[in-house]
This record gives sequence, structure tokens and C-alpha cells, in this order.
Amino acid sequence: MAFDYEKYLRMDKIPHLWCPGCGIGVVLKAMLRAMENVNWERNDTAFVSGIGCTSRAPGYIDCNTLHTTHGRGLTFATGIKMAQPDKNLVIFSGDGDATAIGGNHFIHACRRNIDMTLIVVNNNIYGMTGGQHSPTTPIGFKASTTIYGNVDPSFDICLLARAAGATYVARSTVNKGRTLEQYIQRGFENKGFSVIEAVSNCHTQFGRKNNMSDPISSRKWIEDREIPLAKARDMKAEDLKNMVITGEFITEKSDLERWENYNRAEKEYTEAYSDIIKKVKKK
Amino acid sequence: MSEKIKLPDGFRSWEADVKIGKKEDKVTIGHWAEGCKGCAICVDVCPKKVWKLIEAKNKWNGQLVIVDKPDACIKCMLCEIHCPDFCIKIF
Amino acid sequence: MKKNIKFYSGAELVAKAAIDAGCRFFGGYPITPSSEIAEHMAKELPKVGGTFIQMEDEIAAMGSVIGASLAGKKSLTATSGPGFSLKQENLGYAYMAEVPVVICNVMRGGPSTGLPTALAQADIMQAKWGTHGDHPVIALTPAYLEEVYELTIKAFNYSEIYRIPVILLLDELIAHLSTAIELPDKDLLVIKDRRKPTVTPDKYFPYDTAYGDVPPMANFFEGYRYHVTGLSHNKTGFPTTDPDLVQADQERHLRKVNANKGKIIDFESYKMKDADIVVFAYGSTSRAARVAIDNARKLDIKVGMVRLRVIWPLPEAEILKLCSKVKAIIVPEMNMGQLSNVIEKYAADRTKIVRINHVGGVPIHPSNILDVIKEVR
Ligand SMILES: Cc1ncc(C[n+]2csc(CCOP(=O)(O)OP(=O)(O)O)c2C)c(N)n1
Ligand code: SF4
Ligand code: SF4
Ligand code: SF4
Repeated sequence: MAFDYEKYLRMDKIPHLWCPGCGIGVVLKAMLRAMENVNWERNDTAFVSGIGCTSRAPGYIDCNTLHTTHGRGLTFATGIKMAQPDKNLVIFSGDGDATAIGGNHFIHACRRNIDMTLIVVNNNIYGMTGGQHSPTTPIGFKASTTIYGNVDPSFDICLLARAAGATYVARSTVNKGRTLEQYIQRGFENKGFSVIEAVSNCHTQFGRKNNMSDPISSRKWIEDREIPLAKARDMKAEDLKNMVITGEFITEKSDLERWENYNRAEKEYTEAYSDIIKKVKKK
Repeated sequence: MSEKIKLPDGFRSWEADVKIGKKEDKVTIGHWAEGCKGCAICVDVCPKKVWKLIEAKNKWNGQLVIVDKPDACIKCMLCEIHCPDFCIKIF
Repeated sequence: MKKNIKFYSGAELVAKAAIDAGCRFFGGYPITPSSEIAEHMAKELPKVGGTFIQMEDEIAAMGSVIGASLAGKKSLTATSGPGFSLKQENLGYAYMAEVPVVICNVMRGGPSTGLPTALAQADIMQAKWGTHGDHPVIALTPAYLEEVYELTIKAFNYSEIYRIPVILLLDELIAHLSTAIELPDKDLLVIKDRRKPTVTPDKYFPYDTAYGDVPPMANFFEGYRYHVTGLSHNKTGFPTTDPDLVQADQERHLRKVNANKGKIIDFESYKMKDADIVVFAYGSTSRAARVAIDNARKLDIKVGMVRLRVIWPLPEAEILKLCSKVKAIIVPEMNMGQLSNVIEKYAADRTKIVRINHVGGVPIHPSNILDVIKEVR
């Protein structure tokens, strides 16, 4: 049955500004379906972003929306959540926004584990500013600042998030809209900080410089490199070079409870803080 | 179009009787041409070649899609889910 | 009536006043000499149901207070020179998006790490021009502990009334000073809150100038579901590049403060009636100036002081009047002349501007000022 996206959109802003075939739209749609799945009220939900093509996403959503400064979306969201802990917070970020200029906020948001969901649209490039390389541009690939091929190593966003303490971490691609929806939904359901990395196509800026200037070939390039996490576990490092390992990197119930919670707080941050308030509040 | 299916304004619809596996069904495919950027992702993801890319005037790239073979549709929703532009509705 | 006299430090008073003004969120990052404010807030906020968070840096701290304010909580952040520099981009965002917040900057010597623990008034110009682009500025410079309390409350009131970030500039000396003071009766405090929309959400625009230069502000989660951006925007809050709209909006932003200067400008005239020499001072240096003036008066020197409680906006009319009346304006500052540069422009050779500039961290002593008064008499 067709999904009623119109219910959640500011229809006077559609068509959106993204290039024909840009994957950000696919991620936005998956997010809206996930929002419906968890029955979030529009009035009780805020979308926050930094700067970049991805960061334009909140503007299309008929909720409380905040388009902030480059890389800083998480910091504004943290303030909102601390002020109104019972509201739903979702942050959209590009790969540059989240892991270059906003890298410090990214790891600390993971560490604090405040109940919010960060969706990183990883298109391996700085889309909005014209195709400069980002912290996820693969080695050897071209960008407007790596004319002779990139020598700058990449972050693995999910491993970074996991090491920093996020309690739900998953990666899928724009070729798998349903999986993205499912992962985002699980992120929403996780009472803690969730990171969903959506590997996406920027054929306009990244593809054009790397012989895949249309959305179909760019999406194909992503599809061809996709390796499910379970399979990747048995593969050699050299065979995983520049591959897209997809799946759930952490689920609170499995990995974490078993062996990764040695330094984790027992309670979600805003809950722990309300306990303090209850304890010290003036009668 | 059946009573409960309501496409938003501006959507064109194609209806067909389809067979999904052994089951008989009806499909309504809605397409919003004005918002369609002709990216051809729907054409690419559809396992049944329901969509067809045509040349047309639009402000993006001079391409548009239309529904070519609605009766081949198996209602897998892949086109609706992967259209980045909110232009497809499958009922 | 029982007097409310107690020992307070300047830092403690900022925190106390903030909470009394209705502040319920603090986001900060430790830096000398401002950290005590964060420490007091961490202790006091949960007692009133507020929240405190120590962020990963000052950029994050500034972002967090803007977010919390949008979510309906009056918010404070406190920092010092280098941290104030880091806050500048998001400070500009607060001006652009018209989000009320208060930033307390306990000044220290700069540039860079400079003199972390010493007295300075190094950020007078950073408070005015630190972030890029034009924007209105209100900055307050208390010189006494009673004033720290009073002006912190005012800072919150101005931020709410005009929907702008307001800067509280404290000298290190004032923040760390501790004396017994009497606080005003809480019931008599004037506390202002942001004007809320009176229309239903379908008729609400976050930057609707139909209600004057300061549009009513809905908080997030109150059913209004609007958009906020740092891009130039129209009344709906969505980006625009229409030159006329952008121009008109920038003019409105400046007008918010400029048209209300009369209400905001605040200075003390001390022994000014017959003065033909005037000391122009603010913050801790004004305390030295007062002693110097009292001593000079004993020598029959007609000297007075204009002491700025609000440094931005400046009392231009008063300065212009003085320039054609007095034979010299002495400007003692713990910087290399950030305010005197401005006063010099107003003076335009009509009177002599004499600077006293200390940047070594040692306070300007009353005798330093008295010597200069004697020289120019
Ligand atoms: C402080 C600051 N530095 C630089 C920029 C310029 N800038 C805007 S978007 C962007 C990068 C966008 O890339 P990414 O975050 O990956 O998002 P995408 O556009 O690819 O979605 C940069 C460098 C800025 N807006 N602000
Ligand atoms: S430049 Fe790239 S990321 Fe930006 S809208 Fe176009 S395809 Fe998408
Ligand atoms: S629902 Fe599936 S089969 Fe039908 S048109 Fe869409 S992609 Fe093709
Ligand atoms: S995927 Fe959507 S936008 Fe792209 S061609 Fe098909 S209908 Fe048009």
C-alpha cells in the first residue's frame, strides 16, 4: 500500500532542491516511514541538521525543524533534548558535517548516549560545496581537492560510532530503502544515541569525477561493493578495502550487553539527570 | 480507481489487473509528472520493466518517466521506495 | 523587613541572578576565569528542575544553549576570551535566527591563551564585532557585585524582549570578588519573557513583522512546527535570496536595538556637574577611577566620570556632548585602547583623548589615573 508521505511533508517545498536521483531523498523517505512505524507525533518531534545538501532535509519535514551551522547540529539537538527530554530528536548530517567539522561533537554525542538518532548520509564527498574530498572519500578517488587521486585515509563511520559509545549503530545503502527504514526505526526505538549511516550517491559531485556521473551507475557502484557484516567477519582485510560493510554494528541487546558495556552508564543521560533533579529539587 | 485510493493532486494514475504469483489483484500506479526529475531510478529498480524513460520538457534534465506496462506490476514497491522525489504511489 | 545580606562572589551572583531571571539551562565548557559560574549552575540548576551540561567545547556549548532556548528554556553559557572566540559562529547564528540567550564572558588577557588568570578587558571589540556580518549588540559591564546581579537579570530580560543573544562582560576581578551584599527583594524583580504568538499555528510565521520589529516567538513542541535557519530567510523562516527582503531584514535586526537605545543605554555620571575633565570608564577600572576622582577633587580639580553599565550600545549623544564641553577625556582600559579608539572618532579633535592602557594583568591603580588627571588639568 502506498505510503502517505504528504502527511509528514511541507508540500509547498516539494520538489526538493536535490539533484535528480540524489540518494538523500531516498533516505528522507525511509526516515518518514520509520517515523510512522513508531507513531511519533509531529508536534513532539524535532529535526536538526548542520550545513550541506543532506542538512537541507529537515526543511521538508512538517515538524519542528532546525538548520544550524556546519557540523554543529548535534550540539543544538543536545540542548533541545536536555531542555525537553520527552521529545523526539533526529539529526541529519552529511559525512563531512558529521565526521570532519563536526567530528568532535559526533564522538561526544556517541559517548553521552543521549536518546537521539543521527542519520549520516555518506556520499563520500562534500556535495554542497562542489565536490571536495571528505573524510570518507576512498583512497585513489578523485575530488576537486584530490585531482590526482585521494591519499587521505577514510573514517569508518560505524566503527567510530561504536567505539565512541553509541548504543545502536547500523549501515545500509540507498539501494535498500526498506532496510534503511528498518534500521532507522530501530534507532528511534533505542533508548540512547543511535547512528544510522546511509551510504548514498552523489553522482553530481563525486560520480562526475569518477566515471559514474548518473545516479544509476553511482548506485550500482555502491551496490557492487556492498558486503553484509556477517560475511565480512570472515573476510581478509585486503578484500574489504573500499567495501561497504552493511548491517547492524551494535544492537543494545546483543553485543553491548555481553561485552561492550564495561564503561557504559546504566541509564540514559537525560533519565540519569532527572534522577538528580528528583534528588536535589527544592521541596 | 476504487473508492479508498486517493492520489494527491497532480498525480496521473494507471490501473491494471495484475497477477502476483498465482493471486489475482488490482494495481493503481500513481505518478506525479510535475515533480518527476527523470532520474530513471524507478526504471532501474523495477523488476518487471513497468516504467519507461521518455524525452520530455522539464527543468532538470529533459527526461521523464511514464508507466509503460502497468499489468506487469507485481506491487513490490521498489519504485515507490526508491524514487527520491515522492513521485510514485503504488496502491 | 529582614535584610537579605549575604556573602557572594561575582560568579555566584551571575548564576543566582540567572536562575532568578528564569534560566533553566546551562551549557558550558570550563575555562579560567569563568569556570566558577558553570560550577554554581551545575549545583543550583537541578534544584529548580533545570538542566546543566558540560559540552565538549565552547562551540558545542553555544549550540546547546541556542537549542535549549528554542525548546523554551531561558539559557546561559559562560566562558572567557578563547572560548568566546570559539562561540562566535554560533553566536552569529543566534543573532540571525533571533534566539534569546545570555553569554557571560569573563574577560582575560589575549590574544590566544594570553594571560589566563589575570585581569583584562580584552574583548570589548570581540563582543561588538566578533562574529561575521552586521548584527545588533547589547553588552553589559557591571562594576559592582550588586550590579552583577542586577545586570545579569537585565541581560536575560533584554534577550527575551529583543530576541537576541546578550553579552555580559565581566572583569576577572569582578567575577572573583567576594563581599557581603544585599540583594533586592525577589518579589520586586522585573522579569521579562519572550512574547508568544497569539495566533493559531496556521497563521503563525516565526519572523512576522506585522507585530513589530521583534516577532512573537513560539517555542518548539508547542504545536507551531516552524523552520529555523541561519541562512537569510523570509518571514516564514525559510531561506530567501531576495535582495530587498534580505536588506529589509538586516535593517530590522539593527533597528531592534537602535530604535530602543534610549531604554538600553545605561551609564552613571559621577561628579559630572562642573567637570571639565572626564574619565570614561567601565568595569573594574571605573572603581580605580572613582578613587582617583575623589582624590583629585581634594586638589580642587574639576574631574568627573562617565561609567558605562551598558557598553554596547554606546551613549553616543552623551559622548558627543562631552566632547564639546570638556577639555580632556581620560579612558583607562585593561586593553590597548579598544574603547578609546571609538571615543577618539567621536571627539574628532574637539577635545583631547588621553589613554591609559594596561595589558600586563596588573590592575590600573587609582594613582595611575590621578597622575594623568593632574597632567591634563
Ligand atoms: C564553518 C563552515 N565551513 C565551511 C562551510 C562550507 N561548507 C558547506 S557544506 C560543506 C560540506 C558539505 O559536505 P557534507 O557535510 O558531506 O554534506 P553533503 O553536502 O555532501 O550532503 C562545507 C565545507 C560552512 N558552511 N561553514
Ligand atoms: S550535489 Fe550531490 S549530494 Fe548534493 S543534491 Fe546533488 S547529488 Fe545530492
Ligand atoms: S511496484 Fe515493483 S513491479 Fe510495480 S512498478 Fe513498482 S517496481 Fe515495478
Ligand atoms: S524515480 Fe521518481 S523522479 Fe526518478 S524518474 Fe522515476 S518517478 Fe521520476
